[in-house]
Amino acid sequence: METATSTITHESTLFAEPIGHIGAFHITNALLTSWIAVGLIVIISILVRISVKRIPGKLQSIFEIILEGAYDLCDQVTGSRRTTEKVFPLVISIFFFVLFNNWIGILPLGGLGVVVNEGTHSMFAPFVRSGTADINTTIALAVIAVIGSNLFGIVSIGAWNTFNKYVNLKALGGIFTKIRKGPSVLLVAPITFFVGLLELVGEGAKIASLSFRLFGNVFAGEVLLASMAAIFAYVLPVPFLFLEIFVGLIQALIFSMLTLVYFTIASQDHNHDESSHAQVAHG
Amino acid sequence: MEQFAATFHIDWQIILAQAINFAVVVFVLYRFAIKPLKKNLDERKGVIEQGLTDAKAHRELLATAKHDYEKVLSDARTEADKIMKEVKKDAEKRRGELLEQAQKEALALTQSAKKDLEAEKIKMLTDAKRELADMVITATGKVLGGAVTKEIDTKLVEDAVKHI
Repeated sequence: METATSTITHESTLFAEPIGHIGAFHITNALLTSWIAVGLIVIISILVRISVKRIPGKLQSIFEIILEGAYDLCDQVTGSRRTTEKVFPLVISIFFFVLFNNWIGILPLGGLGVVVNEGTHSMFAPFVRSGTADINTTIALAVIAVIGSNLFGIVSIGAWNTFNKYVNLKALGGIFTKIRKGPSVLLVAPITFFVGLLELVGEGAKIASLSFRLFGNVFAGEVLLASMAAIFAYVLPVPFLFLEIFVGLIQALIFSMLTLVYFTIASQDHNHDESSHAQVAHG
Repeated sequence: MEQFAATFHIDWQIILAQAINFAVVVFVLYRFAIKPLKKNLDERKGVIEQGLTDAKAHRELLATAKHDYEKVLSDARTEADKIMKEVKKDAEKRRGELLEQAQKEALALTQSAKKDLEAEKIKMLTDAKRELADMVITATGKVLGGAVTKEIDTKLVEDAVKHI
């Protein structure tokens, strides 16, 4: 297909190539891959639902082992089973969604695609591109993770405490209440307030780091495989395929674990901790 | 920012579509896979814990039952020993009593026998005396030849016999 005419070119683009559209809505190959991933997850979930029995079969055993392992891993991060159980559905969903998207993109189906006319020249666009090799997907996930963690914080420690993490009015108010204990609060309180503002910037940084880390890794993997195939087709990419399978797993794990960490941090009240530490120190 | 969006083809529609995709994944995965699996796991854990607790309770019950059984057995043994001892004592006592009675009876029997013998002897002696007297009378009568009356004769003889 690629060599059919000299005007058709294919290159690994930073963006997901559109392969069709419904009205004004462009369907990209990354979006298609995500739909396939969602479809697979739905099918597997329903299979699990059907096969759940008191005495587990093979499929159920595998999923029970995964589930138990995931719970234990999350417990190590959150430190409490209660928090784990609240956050777990979201975290495991991120894991599987990212994992399926990563792995479907690795499948050597690069030959299947459509030729898209873009102005002067024609572009070959494969149907399958890792869903996570599109910044739109990773931004969506990162925004959900960060906004979700803050909502979780509001539910866990209250809206006022969450607000004070970023715009630390409590610290400023503390100037008037703690000034009697010593003048150091005059120095500490503005710093604490400023740190709060930094945290606000940090939330934006979290979105950027989460989305670009995942996008960068998966996209780099695709480019790497394409380059290796260009150097020595069929043989050279094989070890890199294994590498990409591993990277796909690791990136899914990293994204979900970081989300879990953000949720855990959001559910803990820092000011409260500090004041209780101070009380211990004073006591 | 514009350039950034253009480079990466950032499209809020696709971001939204992917968010919806993810929402579907969360819903389906939780509703159809994690929730039933977790529920099943917890239930099985409960059943196993219940089983272990029950097993422990049964083991304890068994130990208690065994202990009780041994206690009852040893009690019974003690009781039996006690009864046996009492019975033995009773038997001993009874034997003594019987022996005593027998001895008494034997003594009484001997005594009565002696008495009878005595009486017999006296009776025999009396009979012998009477017969001797008759014989003497007859002899004397024969010797005297009827010179003396029968009454005198008898009186004489009786006196004589008495003096013997």
